Amino acid sequence: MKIQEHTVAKAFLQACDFVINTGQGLADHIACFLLGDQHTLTRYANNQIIQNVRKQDHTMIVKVILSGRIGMASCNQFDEQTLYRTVKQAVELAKFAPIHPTVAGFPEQEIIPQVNGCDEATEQVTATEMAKMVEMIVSKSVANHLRAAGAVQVQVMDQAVANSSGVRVYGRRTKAEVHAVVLGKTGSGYASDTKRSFYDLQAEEVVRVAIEKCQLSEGAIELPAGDYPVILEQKATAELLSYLGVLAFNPVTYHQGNGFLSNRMGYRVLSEQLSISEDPLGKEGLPDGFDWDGLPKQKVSLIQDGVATGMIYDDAIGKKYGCKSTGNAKYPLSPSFMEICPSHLHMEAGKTSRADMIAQMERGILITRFHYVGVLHSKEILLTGMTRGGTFYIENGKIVSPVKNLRFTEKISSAFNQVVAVGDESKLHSWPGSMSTVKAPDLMLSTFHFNGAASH
Amino acid sequence: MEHIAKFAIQEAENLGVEYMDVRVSQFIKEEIEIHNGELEKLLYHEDQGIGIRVLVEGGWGFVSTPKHCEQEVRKCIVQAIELAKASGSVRQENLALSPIEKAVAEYRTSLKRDPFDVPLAEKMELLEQANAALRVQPEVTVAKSMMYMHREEKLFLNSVGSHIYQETTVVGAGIQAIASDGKDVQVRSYPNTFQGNFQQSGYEYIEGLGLVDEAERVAQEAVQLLQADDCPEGVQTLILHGSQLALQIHESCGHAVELDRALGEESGFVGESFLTSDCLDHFQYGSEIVHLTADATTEGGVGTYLYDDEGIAAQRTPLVEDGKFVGYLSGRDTAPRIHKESSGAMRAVGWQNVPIVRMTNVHLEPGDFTVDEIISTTESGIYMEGIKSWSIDDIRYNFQFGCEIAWEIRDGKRIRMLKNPFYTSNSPEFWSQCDAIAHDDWQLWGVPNCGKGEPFQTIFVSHGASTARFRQVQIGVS
Repeated sequence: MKIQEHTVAKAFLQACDFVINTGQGLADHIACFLLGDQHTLTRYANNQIIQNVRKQDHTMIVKVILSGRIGMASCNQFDEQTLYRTVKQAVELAKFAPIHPTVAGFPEQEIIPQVNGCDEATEQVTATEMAKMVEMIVSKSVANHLRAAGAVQVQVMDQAVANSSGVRVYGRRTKAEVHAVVLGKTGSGYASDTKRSFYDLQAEEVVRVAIEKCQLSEGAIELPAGDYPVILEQKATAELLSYLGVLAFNPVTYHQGNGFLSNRMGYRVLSEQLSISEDPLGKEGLPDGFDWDGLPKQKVSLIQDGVATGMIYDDAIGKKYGCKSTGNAKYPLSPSFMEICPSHLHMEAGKTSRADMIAQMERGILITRFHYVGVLHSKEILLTGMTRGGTFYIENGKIVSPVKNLRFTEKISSAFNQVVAVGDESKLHSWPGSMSTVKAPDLMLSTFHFNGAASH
Repeated sequence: MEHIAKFAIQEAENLGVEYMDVRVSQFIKEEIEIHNGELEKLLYHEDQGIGIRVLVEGGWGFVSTPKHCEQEVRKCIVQAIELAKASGSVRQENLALSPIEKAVAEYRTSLKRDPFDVPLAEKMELLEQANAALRVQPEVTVAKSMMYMHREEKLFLNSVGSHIYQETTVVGAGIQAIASDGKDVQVRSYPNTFQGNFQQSGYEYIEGLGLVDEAERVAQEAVQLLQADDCPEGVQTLILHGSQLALQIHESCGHAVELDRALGEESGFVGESFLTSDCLDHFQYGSEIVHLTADATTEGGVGTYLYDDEGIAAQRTPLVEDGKFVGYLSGRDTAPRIHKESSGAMRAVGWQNVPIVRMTNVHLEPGDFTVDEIISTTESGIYMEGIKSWSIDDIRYNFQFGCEIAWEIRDGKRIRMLKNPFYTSNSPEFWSQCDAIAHDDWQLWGVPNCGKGEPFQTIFVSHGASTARFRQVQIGVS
């Protein structure tokens, strides 16, 4: 079935048409943005299902421009009376707004790349199928006298954008995710998998890795604070990379001179072993054809061989700074402190396997993932956070002991300049509720600063 | 609301559920933001929907929908039953619930001036004036002024006959100055970092914040920070203003006393708690002057209500008394596991989400000192104010917080401004070093972004806090 013929597509586009037609008589320009979200989640802990939810909602956002003034209103009912009231509300708000100095209108239609972000079978996953996946994870954990926690979840996201300049687009995407935290007496192990299709999830591999890490984590030793060489597993790299994406590729701070890349475009800013792109069309990820302006998404080289090569834009910010949109407009109801950022970061894989990294390491630490990372200095990308889910000490090319979780405080810009080797596989990661992804490989860094330790 | 809620109860009972509750709610909000004199956001939002929770064969199922028709509600109940049965299929122990009594009640936020009746022009004028006052300092490159208000009308019915209507109005506002000299970037916020401060109140709360009057000081401090000395590192006496202490309470106490975390139910996502159930009534959490309370009845708190989202009455629960850990935040399905009854702390964000154990209003009770007495009796130390960064481990033990601004204290006086301060410790050690708590600047700090659970829920909570002093704390500079 063509995606535009889907029942939801018809309903969404019909609502969009009503809003645009209504608004054209009341405002100079009008746009509407429609988000539908169905989220089914089976959550487990202590080897049993503790929560099983299916939530759905849809939101219509109407934005108008009236004599250079902007107003925005939103609702979640699609009857004509509510939609009309929402358009009127946006118009009334605009009358009280100050005149915006640069706003001219909404973007015009462009050709949208054809991507298949939706797996139809995933839309039909049943509660029983999800419970069976949990049952398998739990039974393997119980067999090893361990306790498992985590979630299996499926998300279906519908998105439509239309405006009075001719944009009229609809897309449907799916995401399936499983993660497991397996806990022993003192140790714990983590693993996860994210796919477009529920039926491609490697749940058996997830629980195998989580159990193995948990068992290896028992009896952790405490390491003194200090600088250590590290191997960041893919999840840990992805977490740091996501902060780099938010802080370094914010076009507003970049152009204001407050960003990490301000006045450094074209210069080498990271290790020459690193190449990073915004890659929304990649088939192996959760591909996405257009942004919240209704403009085409595209691959953008951000860092090539360590050199800063690109920035991302939406239509309004792009016009303000004389650049073309890269298809990175954010959801209009996002908090304003969340600036636009890459939605599909991809750090290219290198050539070194994890086993070879460990074998090469004389002395250092293997990190599975990080927990609760905070920003201490945004321009320098100075972050702090804890390790979690399996941290191990390596000596003479072998893992010799689990380590109690460590607190790091490190400039990621510096850390990503200390790359010894890049892993040979980039793995897809996502965060709960979000359709954004980060694809990242293992990284071996010559030094990483730890300034404290946890009790476990 | 009434009709569809009653219909849902009747349908679920016909289908043989053991227990069910339904929340029907309508939500409206308005957000205004001005950045550098230009409108950044002007939004009016409304939504409505139904959340249905059923207990069948020893498992929970929850389904929510924005559609109010009987056909949709019937479909949702069938789905919820399927989910509940699937839940029951992977269980190690029977689900025990603490008792619930039928309740019939109504609650409305007390307000003098309905924020949704205040003319938009008046709100815009306040924010524009505050924004202009921030921009008097040329080094302020980004000036933000913000206002927020929401109202939720919620009807709760359950299969034991409860009928609870609650109408909650929350307002908030704030300003922020970001100063830059091309080399450094510094931020100051008022009243606090997360979009200002929030209360359950009418527009009178926003009028009382004095945004325009405070803007000059906020901008000056942001600019002065550019030239300030770095905070010296070392183990020192730390004095925390309530704006930061509120977050300290939130992270190291509020989350740590959530019983679902302590029982391991959050271990798959946000983590567990160092305050395991064997610590209850035994563990010395802090010094003897530390008294922490979860109080869902505090007037003006953004975590205040009459009944929680599973129909249990709001309570005032001592968490730490004389420094000893004595209580948890809990719900009906967690409390029995430590042989207690629910503390009435099950909250859901909107009709869309399932209720889970959440903070209400978690306070550090006022102490015996004045702020002046705390500072004047400190020979040497660092005073910090304003949230800048936060990080704590998955059992709420090891933490590190950065603040917007600091001052060096010498011989009982503030002697110089310092930038980029942070402090790090672990929760019990930190609270055991608390030797002075003020009473004269105790106030509610509303936190609008407390995150927990899967699907992720971001909720409003309050913390009562005043200035307090902690000895022998590791202080650093970022």
